[in-house]
Amino acid sequence: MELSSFMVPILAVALVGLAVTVVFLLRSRPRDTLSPEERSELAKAPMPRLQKRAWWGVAISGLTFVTVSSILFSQGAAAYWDNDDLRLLVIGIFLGGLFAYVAVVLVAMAKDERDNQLDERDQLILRRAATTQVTMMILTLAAWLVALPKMFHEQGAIPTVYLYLMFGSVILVSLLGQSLGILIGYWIGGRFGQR
Amino acid sequence: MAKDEIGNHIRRLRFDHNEMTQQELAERAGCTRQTIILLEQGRYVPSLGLAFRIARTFGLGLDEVFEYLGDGPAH
Repeated sequence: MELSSFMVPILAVALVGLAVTVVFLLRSRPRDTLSPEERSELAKAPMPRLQKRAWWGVAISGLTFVTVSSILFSQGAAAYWDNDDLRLLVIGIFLGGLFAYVAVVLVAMAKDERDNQLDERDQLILRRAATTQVTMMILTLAAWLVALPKMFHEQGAIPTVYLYLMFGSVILVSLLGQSLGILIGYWIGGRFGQR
Repeated sequence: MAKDEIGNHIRRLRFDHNEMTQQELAERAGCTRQTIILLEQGRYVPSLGLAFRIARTFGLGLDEVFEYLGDGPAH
């Protein structure tokens, strides 16, 4: 049983979903883009705190996702279940990434909000980021739903290890989706303005 | 659905007030400099609260800083 055989459709569906989200968001914006002078003026302003947090979020969640996926790709899902050391390593990396995201992004973001460091535009972007986050989570679950029955159709049963992998992947995609949603929000603002 | 277009005179008012910088205005109004830039470019419609804070920074009424331009194109 090769992990890559089901990771390919998962990643493919997730990427298509992200592309659909970006296209949808772009099409729902006014068409008139900022002029080069307007963009240049905006680029000179300091990066808002929320945007910095989102870059950190993408780095932490992305790195965690890539590291865990690489280990599972190379070792296989069955090895994750059978090998205690490997399982501890993967869980350690997963929890490390999760705690780092909570500390660097979520707690800091809540503190910024409490200290009035996030203005109304930041908060608008943060609220809209939930759309990207939920879309990516649903698409990840959909990808699992498509891949698992296809893989285990012959056996008639899906090994329980996949429940843990599904849960972990949805958590990581959720974190990644929130940060990506924030960055998409600022990107749209810098290209079309924030409406 | 049609969207309300709101214009403003923030850029001119900043220069009329001792060439106040965007950063200064942002700090006084409680927002980021990026938001002030987008406001001046007419690319962001502020909440009533932020609009009042900006007007108060200049010591003016809301209608002296902002103006209603009517319905924008439907999106």
